[in-house]
Amino acid sequence: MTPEHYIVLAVVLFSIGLVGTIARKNLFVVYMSIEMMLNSINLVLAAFSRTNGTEDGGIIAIFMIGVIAAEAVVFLAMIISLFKLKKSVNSDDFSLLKQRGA
Amino acid sequence: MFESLLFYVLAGFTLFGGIALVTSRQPVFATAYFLLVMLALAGLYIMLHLSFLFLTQILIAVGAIVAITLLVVSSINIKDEDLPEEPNMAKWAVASAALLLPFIAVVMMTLGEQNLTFADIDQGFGSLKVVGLEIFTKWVVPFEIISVLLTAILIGAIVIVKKAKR
Repeated sequence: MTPEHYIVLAVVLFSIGLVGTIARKNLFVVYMSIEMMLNSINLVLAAFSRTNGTEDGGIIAIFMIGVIAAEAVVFLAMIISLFKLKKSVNSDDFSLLKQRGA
Repeated sequence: MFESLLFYVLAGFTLFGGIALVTSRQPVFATAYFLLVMLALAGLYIMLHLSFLFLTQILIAVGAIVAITLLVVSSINIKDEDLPEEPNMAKWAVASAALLLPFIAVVMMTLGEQNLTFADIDQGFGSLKVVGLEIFTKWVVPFEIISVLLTAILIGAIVIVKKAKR
């Protein structure tokens, strides 16, 4: 196995996540796609940590997991409060900041 | 031989889980595939000899993030007819994939010139002892920033959920 295998896998996983974020309207799927993109970054960091033989990439990946957990909490809290507001998980219903008639 | 077989099995699980997550209609099934992706990624970390990262992935990503996601999905418990209709999903998927193609091409072209190989590593690479020593000598400030961030997030999440009650 070479580092290229891991990096290509991470690129493909990131692409799937980005496609899911743009194409889907279900807020839960959007949230999980964003999580998946962040985790693919972690895989790149881990692969380069092993390639260089130093711990730094792995440690940044560990910190990233902490940041991902924080992001997950805020995102889920937002989904809950938005669902309380409109009884919907459709991202099209939450377009309050969209510019109208421009 | 065995290692590359294991890699392809884990990569297959990751990609299958990712595609199934993005295409699934029910959030509960999406969460199950999310769990699959996280577990397969943890397996890839152990293949890279990063055992402490593997442990963190299992404890936090699987044990905390996936569990809380499943909790929220099942507590909202949305009915099938209330799920958003997505007639233009395929169109948007093709458009975003086309947007990604140049970036993927750049990555592939860069990788083709590199000929990367894995470095020779010591016995304790990625273990709790080595990683702990590095964190508490070289990475103390980022570590403390993460703890401040988590405290802020704890308060912020409570504020966000409380505000919607009124």
